Amino acid sequence: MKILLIAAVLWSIHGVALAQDASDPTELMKQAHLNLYYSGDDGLANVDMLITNKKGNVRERSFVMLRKDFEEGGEQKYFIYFQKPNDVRRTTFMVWKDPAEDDARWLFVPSLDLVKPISANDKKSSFVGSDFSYEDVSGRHWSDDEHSLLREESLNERATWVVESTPREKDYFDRKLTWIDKEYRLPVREEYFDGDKVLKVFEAVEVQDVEGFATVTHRRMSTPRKDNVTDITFSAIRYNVGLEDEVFSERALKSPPREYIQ
Amino acid sequence: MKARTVHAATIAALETALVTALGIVVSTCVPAAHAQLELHGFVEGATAVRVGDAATVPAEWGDVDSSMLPRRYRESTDYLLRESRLQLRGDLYGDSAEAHFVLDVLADQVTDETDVELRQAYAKFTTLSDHLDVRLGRQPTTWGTGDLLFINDLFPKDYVSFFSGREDQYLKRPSDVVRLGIFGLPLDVDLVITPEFAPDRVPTGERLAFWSPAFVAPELPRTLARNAEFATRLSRRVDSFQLAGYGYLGFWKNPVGLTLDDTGAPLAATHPRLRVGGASVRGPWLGGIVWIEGGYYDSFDDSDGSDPLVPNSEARAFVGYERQWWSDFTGGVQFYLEHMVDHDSARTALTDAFGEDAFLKEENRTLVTARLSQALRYQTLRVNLFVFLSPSDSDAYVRPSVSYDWSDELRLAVGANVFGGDDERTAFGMNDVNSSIWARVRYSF
Repeated sequence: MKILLIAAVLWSIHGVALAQDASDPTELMKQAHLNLYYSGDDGLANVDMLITNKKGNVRERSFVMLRKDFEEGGEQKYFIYFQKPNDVRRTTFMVWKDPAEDDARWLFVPSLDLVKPISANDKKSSFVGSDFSYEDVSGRHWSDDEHSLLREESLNERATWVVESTPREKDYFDRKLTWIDKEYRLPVREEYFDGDKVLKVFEAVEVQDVEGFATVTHRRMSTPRKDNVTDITFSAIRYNVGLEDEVFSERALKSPPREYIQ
Repeated sequence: MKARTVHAATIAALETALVTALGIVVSTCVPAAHAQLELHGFVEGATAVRVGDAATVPAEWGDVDSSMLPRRYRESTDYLLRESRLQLRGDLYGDSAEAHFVLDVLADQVTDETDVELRQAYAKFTTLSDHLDVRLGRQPTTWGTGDLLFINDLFPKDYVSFFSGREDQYLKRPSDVVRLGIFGLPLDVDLVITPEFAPDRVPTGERLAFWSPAFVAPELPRTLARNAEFATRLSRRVDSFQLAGYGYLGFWKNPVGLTLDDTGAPLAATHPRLRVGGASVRGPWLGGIVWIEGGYYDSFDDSDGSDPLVPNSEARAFVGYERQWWSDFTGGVQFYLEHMVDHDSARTALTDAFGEDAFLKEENRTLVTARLSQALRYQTLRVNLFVFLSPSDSDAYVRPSVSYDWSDELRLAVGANVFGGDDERTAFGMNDVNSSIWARVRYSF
């Protein structure tokens, strides 16, 4: 009886200690999500994307990406202006993201003067032919998965928590591991599994301080079974620019705001 | 003739103004520190080979002097396309305005001609404290909700390019317009004025054989001030839905009217006057996108529908739905109805004038379209199928294509335009002899 009591006390002390150190895995995932996708009230960056296939052939995309948050962890709007490849130059793309519903997406094709809404119920479709899906670009909401803290470990000589996530509803992966940097509170590595098979791997290759926000300026997504890799680098990053609502409109799709996309 | 001269002068003045506006933009842009000129484009080779039967002269044309027939009825040209094209795109950005141009140089071995086509040349600026967007010059204009179906979009189309295997951007024929966008009101307002009527480009027999009740040349409305086209759109977003109302004043875009000479023989195919009013709504539904559009085509040169030389008024509508069914696969469907308002009186008038065999389209022309698109291998390989099927006309038009991006610069594409129908006089049936397969290679820079 005594032994049992001691065990119970020890157990509760251990539990408290763990909570103080690591806190709740859901809270960790939420913080990491907000730090990766919701820094500042808005932001813009030049984005360069290199897609390398198994033969070593490289395709390149360049675009300017504008973002405005309407609710922390909630509604966001994105505006994208393509500069490369040349055949889609001046094409614009807009996403109104609402984690509670399907996104609304529009594409503007300048050669046809055509604004086309894109149906957006499938978030795992490839974004512009890269290893990143739409969901990878705008973020998978932490509440879509159940999280548990698996362990703490050092990754690339930095202290991280490793969180295991399983989708609440059936999805294209059944398990995800996320390494969260203890200092930056950013996801620095993610592995998506289907059974024992690794579907794709995300890596934060470079993290920089930009205007006080720890920012992943070089991201890599690889798909091991296809031997395909996409590298994204962000430059000319600005936060809290004061982007107007009008930047995220059909008018702007046709007449992109030059002050932000030069 | 006086009015015509005046309007020709107006157009000349407008063109001068356009050139001046471009000049001002260019001259204000170039010295500015932030002025940027960007030059891009592509070179492309395209071939389309006919797979249909040879074109035969429609019986209705009677004994036409064979030397006067369009090329397609004189020669068994096996190529619909055999061309090399250079497209140059220039975008010039200044501090307060911008200018865009697109120039195509086309070496066409079907017509044995080399054409230089200015496809876009317009200046754009914003004024009135950001409430007014102005675009002046040659440009494509598109609105409406349909997928390759158009009711309230009465801007010119090029069906010769569309049917013969050129890229989709060539379906839109640019026109010389004054285009205003007014913002900040409860409704966004677009107004497009086309001073000189811009018709659709329809088969003339050069590449594509066609059926017409009479072998006559088309005649455009005169260049008169009152013959300008006006098109407007009022639109607003309500929740997730985009609502729009449209108005158009101008002419039937293809030559569907007829004039006769003193003896009653056909003289010319004409573009009768037309007014259109319509509306559309588009928004998310069941994980996809739904759209509905309707319009009333008021052929007011024949208000009671009894003139056999002028088409009747029509009510047109379609409903469409598209969604992503799985990753990188989109499937959509549309149902379209074209209802002739006074079909009985049109039938009577036509029979009185030209006899019982004179062709009149169905009172209700129905059309179903389907689009299937699958992207593969990181979207470098795209497989597309678009089908038009008309239950009322018993005809169909199928557009399969496959494109492959060898690199960011080099794209290869192959496809077909396949027509079929019971009657050589219906929209797709008449194109039976124009079925073709095509291939294109494009290098972008």
